[in-house]
Amino acid sequence: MRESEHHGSSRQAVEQGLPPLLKRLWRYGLVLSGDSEVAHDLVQATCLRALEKCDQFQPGTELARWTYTILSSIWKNELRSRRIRQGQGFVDPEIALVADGAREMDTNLFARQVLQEVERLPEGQREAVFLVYGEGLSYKEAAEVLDVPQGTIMSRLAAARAKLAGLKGRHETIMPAE
Amino acid sequence: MIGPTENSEINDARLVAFLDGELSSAERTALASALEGDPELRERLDLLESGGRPFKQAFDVLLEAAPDDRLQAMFASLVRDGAASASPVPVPQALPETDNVAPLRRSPPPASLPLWQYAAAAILALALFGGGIAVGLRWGGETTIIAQPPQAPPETQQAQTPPQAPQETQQAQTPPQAPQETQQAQTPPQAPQETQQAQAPQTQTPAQRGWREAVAQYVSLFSAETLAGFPADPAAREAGLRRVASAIGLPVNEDRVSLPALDFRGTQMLQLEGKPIAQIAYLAGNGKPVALCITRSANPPQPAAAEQRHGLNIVHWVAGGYGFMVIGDVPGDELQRISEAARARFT
Repeated sequence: MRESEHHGSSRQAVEQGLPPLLKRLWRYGLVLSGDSEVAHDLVQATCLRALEKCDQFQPGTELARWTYTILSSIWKNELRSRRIRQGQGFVDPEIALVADGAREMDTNLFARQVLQEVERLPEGQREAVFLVYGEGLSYKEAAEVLDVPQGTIMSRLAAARAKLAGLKGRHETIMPAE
Repeated sequence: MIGPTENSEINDARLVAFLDGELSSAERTALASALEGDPELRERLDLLESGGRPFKQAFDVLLEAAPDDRLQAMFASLVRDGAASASPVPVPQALPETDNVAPLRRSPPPASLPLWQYAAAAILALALFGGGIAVGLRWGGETTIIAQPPQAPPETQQAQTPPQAPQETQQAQTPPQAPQETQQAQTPPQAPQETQQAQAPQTQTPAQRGWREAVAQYVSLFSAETLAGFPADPAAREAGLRRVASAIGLPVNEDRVSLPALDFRGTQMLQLEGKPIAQIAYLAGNGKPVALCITRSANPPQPAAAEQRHGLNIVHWVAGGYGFMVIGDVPGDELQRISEAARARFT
């Protein structure tokens, strides 16, 4: 009885909490896969699993982080290896199209530039940068989402920053991302 | 004993945590005093700080690009008839792991590459709004770099501020029958841009700067590798042609687009100020990309005229309510022959 009550409220929390998170989940999927279709698949798989395992969710805790954990593990355990082709990169898109005025365009240009730099980072660093700087998670929270020690987050961020610092201002030929 | 490399890695992590406000107050104090007596460490801190970016703003742009309607629809259908029923009855037990994943629609985008389209439009916009920027398009894992940044956004902006001036000059040089469609109707080709700009600095639209200029800038970023990214299979090409045809309302098919001495490589839709531009891409014998671009035009018919923009030869004309241009890094006389064939096909 208590079980099912708990389940009911968890289910409700998950069902109602997910819709506002879908865009953020998609973005996480895009950052990981570099492909908007794969990102969509990831969100779908994540939602399905979240609904199935909703009794593991504690209402009142952060649903976003819980679902990030799911998405990250689906990506690593199931989807990454199944990628048929690498994505087109997440800097594509949609982005500049949104803008109309020149001012907005400037912002987008700059955003694009930053995203391109992020895109060239290895996945682990990219993901840490996204979770900590993009999503605003603490080191500890990011470590929980990725199921790694906090020190790993620190060293990935440090490596990413060192790399970006090195890239800055250098007019080098940019090589394809490995 | 820690080796120097390991040591510096630990230091880097600590410094970044310092920058991110993730150190405890004790650690912070310790590091602050270490920094005081260690110029090298301070230098390292500066370096790592310079590796920071406005990440949040950049990522937020992606959020705006998220296909929310589609995601919401997907979620609604999951809840409605997803694996877990909507009743509050406990789901018996977790399904076997492998069944837990939603079926993947692994099929590539239908018959075309929408992302390419997006990317193309985005790049077109980029090209228009001045300043080079590194743009990487990835095809099946390869990145084609089609432009190289002169870095520093502020500089870019500055260079952009009087962007009309050089273009106007160009515009003025262009033969009189060539000017941009929108403008020509209202005003003489020379002065208007200044006037417009004085009135509303931000209203200078790409369309007003001229579609040929926009396309030329864009095509000047092309390389043979760019074309290698176009889908090669006939069905995809045919679908591309159909798409292009319906977008500009002009029957375009494989026969019609096949041009002498050019290898047809595919189609692409561009957009300038909401106005579709069909681009049919070819590879010339010299390995250089050539494009035939078509857009609707309200202008009266104009005979073919040649010009050069961004180091590319162009032949352009207006016929039957459409503006045409062929453009590429091929000799002028060769392009003339190509354009004659194209004119014959589309007249």
